[in-house]
Amino acid sequence: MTYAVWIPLLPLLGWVVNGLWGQRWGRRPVAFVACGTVVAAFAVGLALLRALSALPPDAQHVEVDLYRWFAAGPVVVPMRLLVDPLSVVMVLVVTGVGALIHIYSAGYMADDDGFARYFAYLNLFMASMLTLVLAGNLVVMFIGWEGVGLCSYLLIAFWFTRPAAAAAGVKAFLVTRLGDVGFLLGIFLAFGVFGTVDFGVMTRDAVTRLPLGGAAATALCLLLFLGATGKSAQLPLYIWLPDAMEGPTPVSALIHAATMVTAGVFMIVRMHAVYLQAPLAMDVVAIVGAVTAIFAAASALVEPDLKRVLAYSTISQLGYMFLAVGVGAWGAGIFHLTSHAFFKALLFLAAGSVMHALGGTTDMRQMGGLAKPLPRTAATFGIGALALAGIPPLTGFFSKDQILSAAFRHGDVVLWAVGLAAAGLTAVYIVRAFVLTFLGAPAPSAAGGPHGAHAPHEAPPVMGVPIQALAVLTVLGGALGLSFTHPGVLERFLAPVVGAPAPAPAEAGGGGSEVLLVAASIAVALAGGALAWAIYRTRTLRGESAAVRAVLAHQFYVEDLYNAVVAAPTRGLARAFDLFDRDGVDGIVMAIARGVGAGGAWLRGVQTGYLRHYAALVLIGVIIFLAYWVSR
Amino acid sequence: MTWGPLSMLVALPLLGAVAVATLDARAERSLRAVGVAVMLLVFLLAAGIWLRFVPGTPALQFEERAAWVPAVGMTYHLGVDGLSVSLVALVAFLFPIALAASGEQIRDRVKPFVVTLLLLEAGLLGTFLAQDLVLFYVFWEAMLIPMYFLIALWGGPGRGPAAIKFFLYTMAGSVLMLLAIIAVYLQSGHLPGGPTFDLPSLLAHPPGFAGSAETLLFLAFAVAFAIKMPVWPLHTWLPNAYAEAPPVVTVLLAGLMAKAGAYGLLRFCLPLFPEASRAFGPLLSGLAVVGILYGGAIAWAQRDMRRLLAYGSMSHMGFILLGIFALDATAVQGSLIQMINHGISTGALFIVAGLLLDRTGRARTEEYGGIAALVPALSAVTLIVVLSSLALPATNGFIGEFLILLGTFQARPAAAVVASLGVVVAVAYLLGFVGRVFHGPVREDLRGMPDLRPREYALFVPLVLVILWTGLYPQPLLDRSAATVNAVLGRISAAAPRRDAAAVRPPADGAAHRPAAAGQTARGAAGTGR
Repeated sequence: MTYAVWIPLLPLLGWVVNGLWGQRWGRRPVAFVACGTVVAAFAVGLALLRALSALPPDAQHVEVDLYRWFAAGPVVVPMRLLVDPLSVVMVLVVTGVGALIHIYSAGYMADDDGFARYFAYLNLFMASMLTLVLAGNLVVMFIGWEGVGLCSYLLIAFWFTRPAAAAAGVKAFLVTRLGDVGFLLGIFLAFGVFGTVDFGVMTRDAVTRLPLGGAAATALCLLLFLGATGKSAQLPLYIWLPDAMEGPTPVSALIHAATMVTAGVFMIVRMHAVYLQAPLAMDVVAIVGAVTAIFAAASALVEPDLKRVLAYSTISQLGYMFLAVGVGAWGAGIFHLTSHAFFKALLFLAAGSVMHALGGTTDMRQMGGLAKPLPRTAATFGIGALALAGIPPLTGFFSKDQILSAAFRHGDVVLWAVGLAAAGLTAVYIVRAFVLTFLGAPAPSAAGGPHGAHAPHEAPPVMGVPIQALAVLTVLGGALGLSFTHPGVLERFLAPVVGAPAPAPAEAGGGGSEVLLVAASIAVALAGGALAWAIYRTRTLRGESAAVRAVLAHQFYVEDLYNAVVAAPTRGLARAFDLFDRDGVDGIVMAIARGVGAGGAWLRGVQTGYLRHYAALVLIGVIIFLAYWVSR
Repeated sequence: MTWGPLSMLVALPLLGAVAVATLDARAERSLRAVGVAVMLLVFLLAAGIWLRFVPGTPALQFEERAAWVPAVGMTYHLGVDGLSVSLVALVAFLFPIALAASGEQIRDRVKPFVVTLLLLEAGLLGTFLAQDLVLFYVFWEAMLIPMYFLIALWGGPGRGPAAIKFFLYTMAGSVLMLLAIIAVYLQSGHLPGGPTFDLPSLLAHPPGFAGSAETLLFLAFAVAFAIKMPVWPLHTWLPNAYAEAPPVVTVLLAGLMAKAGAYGLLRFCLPLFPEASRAFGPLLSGLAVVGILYGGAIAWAQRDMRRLLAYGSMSHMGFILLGIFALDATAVQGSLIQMINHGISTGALFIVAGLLLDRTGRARTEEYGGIAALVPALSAVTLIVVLSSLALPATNGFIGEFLILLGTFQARPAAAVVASLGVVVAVAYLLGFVGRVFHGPVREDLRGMPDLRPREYALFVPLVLVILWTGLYPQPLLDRSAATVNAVLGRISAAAPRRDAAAVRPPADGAAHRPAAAGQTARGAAGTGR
């Protein structure tokens, strides 16, 4: 299966070609190269799926060694890919959703001066993300891990002449890199424990090398999780993601919703054998996930910006995924990752169509009544919204429900309740967003639109078709996990990696409670949706109490806290060092220099030019010397 | 005596200097052309030596030895081994690029400039090749003097004080080193061949220094090298010198001369004074960590482009010091490769700063804005160089800093944890630099700023290729240094009392490494030597 290397290599070639020559070409060849390489990578991924399925389950772990990357001292790091069910699922999600978003982008960015640069970055992102998911060890994964961070920076700051975009890009890189330090230290610790960071070896040796619940396992898992909180925008490092919405909307769909931000979840599943040795760390993962889920959902409640609502929603949904892996429901985590990729990409692309129609507006206070001019966008956004809210039979319902029931069965009733409450809030904020955007009377600006006289219009097919494809996936994707009593297709496929799925609830004697759980989450979703409908039907924001809004609109003042506790003191410290360097360290040096200078000036007095003075000095010297020599 | 390739390596720039000196001073283009041609010739020779260097042995190669002053045990002794072979290639690589980039910056006294540059190259190459302490000292001083003139004659408005400060600082270190060299000689009387300055002869037998003498000698050498690197708190000559020297000279100052300091530590301090190296390891690691964070924080606060890069360079040199005094094979290997990387990346950053200064005359970052829209090619190149400097995986900087931190983490975990914050600080000041200069609203008064010219592309293509090559396939570099690094560290663990030897690499840790390494080798990782 050496040909797996083409999966990251094809988009990489697209980057090289478009990066070097794209500026000189027209838009058509650029788009063709960019989309073509990703579609081709998807095709290779399908071939891989076929080849892998043909193998017996215990052979579904194929290591592809390309060359020895580096070796120094006892450390050996091969450039190795790992093809197994987990990486194949990720490849298909990334290239599948990625291809649709590439095609959509060809329409969305059609009028942008940076067309070639945009697609070069997007292809580089695909190459990095595919390296990340196909990596055979933590260091190769780190290439992709930091590579996607770089592309995220480049694409958030794509419109770099806008100060907000440039600043948001730097913020994203800086905050995620802070998490990456944890990831890096985790790699070092893993080297110390295993002598290697190869996934195959670590999975095999985790039980023997890491005592269950020991300090090494816990530290290792928490360090890696710190990296995950940065990349996957969890508390406390989520703060970069809402600002990341400064980037083009397809980028938000691809990088900041469907793929890159899920890297942390994927990494934990990849390292699940190690995490199983650290129950404490898994509890931390689950708690951080659940708290993030409800925190971010609450932050989305009063957000007036459509894209930022979706950003908080992404943070919240990622929280669910971490809750899943935190309670050991690896398959459920990957299932929700997949289904979220479908419906959140759908929501973002539909939002992009709204922006396209309105000339770039994202403020929902300037929208309203758009269902009339944009019926297809409204319908597809609605499908995505229902999936997000967890309404059956859409994909989001199945995947979210699996997580909640896994948390419940794991015995974490509190986490389950938090997740359920977050599900209610999710229904509220997404129905609110839908109502404010598409229903009611058109806002004054939405009627005319910045395009001038002509009214908002549906996007061209190059943008419409990818949205509709994602809508179909959102409707049908539930089939991947469709089953209440048996593990779903996806979970069975992943079994060779993460072990056999949890016993079916019926066997565990909990069939009745399972039905109740499902009923509870549907009821909560419906209640939340109905509440939002009741409040926002008239498109006024009066239902939002001022006090609640004051807290929520500032997202619980976390950002201000960061500024007060981290950013400002660091800046002050840097200034203080700067002053200290001039007046402190260098001041001492210059004082010594002045002292030497003064000493020299004083000594110069000895140089009188009179021979008799010199003779006298010589005589004094000789006497001192003799005195010393005699008295010894 | 034989006239070997290493002697030619030193002689070529000297002959070139003589040749340039005879040319007409007004023919500036041909002066530069001849200079670049000589440097390219030197590079070809150095590349040949690098390619023909046989990895896997700690022995000196291409060795040349001749009597110099036999009466006092001075020899003319040149050689390359794993510590120096790649550094020699780096010197020969950067000089023609720097001279070729000087076109806009050096407009007057071109002839003395080219001559001085060639003399500096000879001095630097000799420093990395010398195997005799006095010969080393001669070359060490021989590179100091041309550098003084390069700053003092061609520098910016504050060049006078900057040059004097640089000179006095380094002289202070040199004097200490000279005294220490003489003391080493005087203490080597017990050797079979009589007292000697010859480094391999000194190392062939256990050093006979008394404990306190070893400490003093170690410190004398270490201070001289620490000033050159520079190590906090001996760095205060750096911001002025880096900012006042013409940018192309700073390329050499930061890219190459700083490496001479780090190289000196590895070449002399560790092998000659193993016990003192171990004893002072924690202190120097601590200074390295301070330098990383302190330099990075100050770089973040700078608004002058070159001072920002200067402090950033100091911060990155801290990683190299950290790796050396981790006294761990992985970390020292990382330091050696990071010396190459730092030369390439920091050199390239100062070339960028030079191009910006040449085009606009603006030194401060906030006087720029949005120029990525005006000079897309220059900004793409800058981005690649910046990424390599902040150690993005798949660029050269990652390999170095990763190995340094990984090795240090096993030997001195606390130092590694604190130092790793340096990679975040690097993002802050480097992307801050990119953000203020290249991003943001376009400054209207900069419109019409020319993008990279073909000649300037030619400067960056080799630099970018080395950045990517080292990032993706660093093994040829690592293979060349491995055996020598092991030999140097072997001296240190041999000198250590038993129980301390265990502390250098805990047995449990070593055992943990073994099965995995064996497992990896079985999967086709040939040539690890283990």
